[in-house]
Amino acid sequence: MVLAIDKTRIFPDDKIRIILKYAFEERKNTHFTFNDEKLHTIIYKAKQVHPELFEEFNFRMNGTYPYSQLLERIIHRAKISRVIKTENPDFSEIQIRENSKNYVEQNLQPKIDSTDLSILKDLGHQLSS
Amino acid sequence: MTLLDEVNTLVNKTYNSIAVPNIIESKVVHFAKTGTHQFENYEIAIIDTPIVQRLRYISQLGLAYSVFPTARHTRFEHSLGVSIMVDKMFKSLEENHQLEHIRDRNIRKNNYIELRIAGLLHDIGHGPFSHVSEIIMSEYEPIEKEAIKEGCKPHELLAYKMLQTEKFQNFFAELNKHYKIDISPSNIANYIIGKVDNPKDDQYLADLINGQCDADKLDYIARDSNFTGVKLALGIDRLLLSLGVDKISCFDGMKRKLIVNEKGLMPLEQILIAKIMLNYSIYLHQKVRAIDYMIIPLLRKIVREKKEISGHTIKSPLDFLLIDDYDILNFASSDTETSNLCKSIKMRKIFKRSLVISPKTIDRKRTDNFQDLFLDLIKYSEKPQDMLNLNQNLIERIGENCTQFDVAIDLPKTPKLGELDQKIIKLHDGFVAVSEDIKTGWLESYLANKWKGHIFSNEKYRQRAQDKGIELFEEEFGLKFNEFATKDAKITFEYKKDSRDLSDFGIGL
Repeated sequence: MVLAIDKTRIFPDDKIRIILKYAFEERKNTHFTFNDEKLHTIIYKAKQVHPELFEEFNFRMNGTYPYSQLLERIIHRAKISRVIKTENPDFSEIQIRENSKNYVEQNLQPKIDSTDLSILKDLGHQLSS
Repeated sequence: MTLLDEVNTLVNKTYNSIAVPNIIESKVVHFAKTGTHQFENYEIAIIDTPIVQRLRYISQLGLAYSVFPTARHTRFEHSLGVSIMVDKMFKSLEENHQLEHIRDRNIRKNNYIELRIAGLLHDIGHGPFSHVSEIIMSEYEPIEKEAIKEGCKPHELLAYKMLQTEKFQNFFAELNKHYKIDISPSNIANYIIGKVDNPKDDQYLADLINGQCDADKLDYIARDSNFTGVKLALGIDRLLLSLGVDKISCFDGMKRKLIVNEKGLMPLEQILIAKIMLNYSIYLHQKVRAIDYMIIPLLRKIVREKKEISGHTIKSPLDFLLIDDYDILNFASSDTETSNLCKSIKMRKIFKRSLVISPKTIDRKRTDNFQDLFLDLIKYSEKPQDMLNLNQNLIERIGENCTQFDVAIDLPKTPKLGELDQKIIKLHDGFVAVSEDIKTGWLESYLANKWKGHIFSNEKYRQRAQDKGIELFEEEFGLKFNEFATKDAKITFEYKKDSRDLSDFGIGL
């Protein structure tokens, strides 16, 4: 009997992917300017209000904005896997493919309860604005 | 029992007394590359403590010297190097009239002394093979929890805690008395984790040791490049002349921070690019990672089985603070498996690639929506326990008595690049981040394109680890590989050519 991989667990990566999906929906599925400082600050503030939902994210406060290494790695992983696509020449605009949005809806969102989902949706809106 | 209590017990048990020796005068020390430098008598007293001397036997880059033969530099010389670097940074700030806000000369002198000492002590929390034992330390819940809370690395946290122990407090009290100085171990401890009591006025002091452009980074990037032979262009002297101190509006209020003036932008960019190059050339080099993955299960076993090494019973990852690289390499256990593993590491009988895992080695025609499936795999890299479970799944598929000592899945974490987005560059009338000035998104694209994971294994299981790895990733994650996943592992070529095996050491081939 091979040790099973638990697919039901919610990873911090999953939460950020859902937020990004909502951000894209808000922007009518076009590119939007992505800024690390904005994302880190939004999640930092969200953690103050919903500590359990964002308990994995910890922030270092000695810089000019709250910085989470986990959050940085999640964005890197999304770029490594090509879930997030950036474009030349500035690489500051990002996009998610239609397939990825469907994947998030079908495979990740069902793992999250409706209250948390509405919090993530709100954060997606904040990120896109 | 808190982590501080545990560290206190450890320090008390190990060091009967950390005596303050009577050093009559300062000493001059010569270094390859960086030249000749002077250390004050009280600094020599600190350097002479067993806790700092132990760093002579902890390699800066773990066993990377098995791949880069000249990378024999240690945490000891790096620590002295950080002390020298922070000295240069502080003096540069002074010469450029950036410290005029400190009116009291004694306070300025104390800051200077404490920063140099913080450089000497910033790495005392490292265990054998530096970052390798740090992985095991991070698996220890009390360390993991506090390191996450403080936003620092486990070795920084342990150095911070060690300086808070009663023994160290007494040592510094005596040092102050004997050498007629007035330094605070708690300030030094704070600098090591990037903190100060009053960030509004003093954040720049911690920034010099653990910040966005700190002495630690400036030293290790130059040192690792120099001793591995990986050539990099670094304008550190130019950067030093561009450093400043200024009040910056931060998320949580105004802070007096270490800043870089416009003319330092180019050398700062060089340093950040160098950091990425070093990651892919050295730290994430597939052979270096392969060796790391031989040591990691060994260190876990040592803790799990409470092995006795050089007179110390290793009951928890904290006990790694008592031993060094040589203790592990020369560890002669009655347990044959452990002894053989130590010998094979020492003789560079190391894991080889079985499978290369990257978006480039996924067969995109046969894998629908590979991007999301690939992300669902690499999100497991965040926690060592998840990687252990994934590896265990592979081991069980391989069967044939395969263990954690035979095969490893490596999905490396990417380097920290947070400093790119910190607005510390003074440009025109405000402050900008490197990422705003040179649009560093291309660096992240570079990172994404260079990233590779692997399955490593010893010769015995090399082919089977490949076959079962392909099976695991397809069944559990829906990922199908292309020919480069196996071709780049060079398995067929080396398998036949390489006549060496581990049987010399009874590994059981």
